[in-house]
Amino acid sequence: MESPTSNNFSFPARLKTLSFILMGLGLAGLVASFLLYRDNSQRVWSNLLISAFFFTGISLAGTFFLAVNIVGESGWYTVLRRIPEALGKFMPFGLVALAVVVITGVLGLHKTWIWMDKEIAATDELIQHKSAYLNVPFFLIRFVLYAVIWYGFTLIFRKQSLQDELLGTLDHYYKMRKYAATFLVLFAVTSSTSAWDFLMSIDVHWFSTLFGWYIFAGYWVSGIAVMLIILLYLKSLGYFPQVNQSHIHDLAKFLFAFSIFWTYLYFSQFMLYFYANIPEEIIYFMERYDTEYRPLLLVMVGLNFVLPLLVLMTRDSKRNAQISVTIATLVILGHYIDLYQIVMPGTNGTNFGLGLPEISCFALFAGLFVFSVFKGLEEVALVPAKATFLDESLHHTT
Amino acid sequence: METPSKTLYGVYTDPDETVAAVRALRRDGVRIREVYCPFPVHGLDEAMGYKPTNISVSAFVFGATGCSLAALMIWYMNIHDWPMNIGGKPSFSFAENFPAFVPVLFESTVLLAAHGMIATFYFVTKLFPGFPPRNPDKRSTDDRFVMEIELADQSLSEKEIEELLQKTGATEINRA
Repeated sequence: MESPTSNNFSFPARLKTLSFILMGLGLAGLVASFLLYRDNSQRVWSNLLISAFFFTGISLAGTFFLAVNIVGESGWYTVLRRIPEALGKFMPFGLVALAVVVITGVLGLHKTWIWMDKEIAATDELIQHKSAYLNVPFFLIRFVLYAVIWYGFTLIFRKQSLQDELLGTLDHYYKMRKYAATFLVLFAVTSSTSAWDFLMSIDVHWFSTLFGWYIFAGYWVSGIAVMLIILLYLKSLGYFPQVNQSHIHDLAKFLFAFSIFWTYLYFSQFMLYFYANIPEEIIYFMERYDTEYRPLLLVMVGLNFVLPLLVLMTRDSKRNAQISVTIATLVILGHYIDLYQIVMPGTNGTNFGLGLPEISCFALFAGLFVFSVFKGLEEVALVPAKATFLDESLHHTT
Repeated sequence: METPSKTLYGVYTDPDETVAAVRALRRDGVRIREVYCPFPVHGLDEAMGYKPTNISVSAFVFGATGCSLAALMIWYMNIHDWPMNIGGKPSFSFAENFPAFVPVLFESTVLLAAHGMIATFYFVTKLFPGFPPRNPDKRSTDDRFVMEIELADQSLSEKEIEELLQKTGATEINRA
């Protein structure tokens, strides 16, 4: 076994076992839920969509993190850039899982997107009005585009980053900046439309222009929480001796700031509907507030807003590993609940709860995520040797 | 005969050099009164050995005050004195109309937190308008970093401090 202070990460055996157990139990649970919920498999499919989208989003947040920092010419993140790069390692699995949910939906195995059903669409004037955008061929084309753009740029950033650290010149950095700017433009469009496609079109009569940003803010803040947890976990094992309190402080600042950003978007969306009080619009929130979903909604807002706001407000708590990891974990849970209450009312009505489908889907994808990300961290040295801005990053103080 | 100088000014041209110089001088036991910079220099506060600021406490207190005052104002204006039918929901209750009040609550929280913080900062540092400037060298507002050392109660002699300043990269040394 290598010494823990080495620059090459080795996947701890216990964590690897844990990820395999999670995957095994998750897969077994998933099969069992399909058997158990034979008459109502919709709940299992909805959970598959939630988990697949949630973890793909976290993976995507890693790529977005890289792009934003490259375009912003920031240097502080260089020492820890392996972590967002490794998040991208999950993306193919997440995209395949999403593809499975999409294709089974198109085949009519589940009714997650009711506008795909020709009989329903034939009698529904609102769906007909939206059919120029919401039709199966275009939906599939868009899905392929998302997969190509998101995973393509994830691979490009990884490749350029690996070459950048070998040469110690600025060539790949300039290339990366062009790619990153292109990605940001494409991502601005695809992050919104993907949220409409996968999540908003579930409640097909309802629409919100803010929805894309709200969903994006959710997985962006979850992605930051995951990065913070991975960083502090690796540091506790003795890796990343170069990462100082300021790097951790900055990530925790991001967690704090984007929790508030998420709340800002969620609230901006909600308040307009609340104020206008138009029945066909407010029904979306009635389904979530005046039903059994109310506890979920309130817990979600508490975990995603009140908790990080009050606890992470001070400098000391942002620099405290235990506090930030606890809050980051709770924020991840909060955003999972958020996604749960987005998907479930439209697909399952009030038929929900903490059952086998919920637990097994989360376990399966969490296991897969942990395995692929930590496997990705093993591939190359943790701190890029000659990377652009590395020196600035090592001297980072706030 | 000229009077013996009381204060030494080491003038530097680079922020990183200044921070390194502050560290080196303090390591040798020189007490530095102040460093004047054209912009905030990261790590300088730590190098000078300052305690972390408590200004965030004042931000929280002022923010909470702003939020409470706004709540009181809204309750008085829209609920108590002149009950408003907000968004077609004539409930006339503060709690049920709460979402409509959030922007005002938020804005006045920010307003009081920001202004309160600035006022506190000016009060603590005695920088309020009209106060005579205490800047020893006007170039420290442009492109020079000026380190101020009072010669009284130093363990090193004037000559030794002067040598240290030169060694750490001071481009000129002035006296007052």
